[in-house]
Amino acid sequence: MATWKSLLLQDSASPLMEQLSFFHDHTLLILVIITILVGQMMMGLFFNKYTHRYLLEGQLIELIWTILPAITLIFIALPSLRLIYILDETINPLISIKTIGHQWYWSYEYSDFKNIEFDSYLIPQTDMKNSSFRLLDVDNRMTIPYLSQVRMLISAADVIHSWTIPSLGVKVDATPGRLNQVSFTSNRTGLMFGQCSEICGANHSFMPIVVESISPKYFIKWISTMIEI
Amino acid sequence: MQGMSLQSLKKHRALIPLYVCVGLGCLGAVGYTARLALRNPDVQWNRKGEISNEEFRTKQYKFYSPNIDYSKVENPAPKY
Repeated sequence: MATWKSLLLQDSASPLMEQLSFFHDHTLLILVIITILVGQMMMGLFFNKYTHRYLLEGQLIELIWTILPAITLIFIALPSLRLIYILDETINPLISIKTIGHQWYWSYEYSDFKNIEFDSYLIPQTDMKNSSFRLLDVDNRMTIPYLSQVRMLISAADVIHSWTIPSLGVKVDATPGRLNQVSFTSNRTGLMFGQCSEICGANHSFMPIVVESISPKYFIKWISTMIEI
Repeated sequence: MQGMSLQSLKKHRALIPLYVCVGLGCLGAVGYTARLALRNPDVQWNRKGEISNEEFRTKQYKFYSPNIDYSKVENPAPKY
């Protein structure tokens, strides 16, 4: 989950997010190299008393500083394209879960078994305990079995929302009248947090998403308790 | 103009990457338009005869698929 002063991406809980994180590190390295190089050159220009009186044309240097950025961009583009195609793969999911965004809460529907539906509201500050995560905890979490491919079908009931879990690398818009599909898998058990990512009114910042990833055995127990409710 | 003839290009070598990039761009644009005109299922060059989508039943629209081999998966389009 996101904490104070964290500048980098959250720890990944999914293989796709791992790949995104590696790509981010690779690209950021290239950007830091370019920034330091240009900064160094500029500092060299500032603290320098030389003057080139006959500075004109310069064919070789122009050739070099056109070819080198093109090569650098290829170094960034190839991993990016590879990642785009990997993210687009469809693997047969084990379970399908629907989530509908409302103003200002999420509702989840598990229709693979008996029809399980529930709403997920933010726990307000007046009701939270000292150990709760402020503005991130919800009353009913969306539960998934870990190491299983999950298909999410996302829509909205009123205005556009966006369902996102940064540590799984998922962000999908919830558009009314449209069903968007995304597929992900969780590598480990635990709680994964996200917040609505499309402005949707007064309480846009107060409709978080919590995914609880548990072992399949406990997931089946959870399903059977939810069916009885 | 400087750089438009081969002799002046030898003097201004820095214009070569410009030619390469613009050339690639033009090739790409022409190639994309030609691909659209010839391979797009919405374009029909046949002036006579029945129009049908059957020749596109096995067409692979995805450029690269790392996991599933779509040529082996049956097309869910209805058969009339």
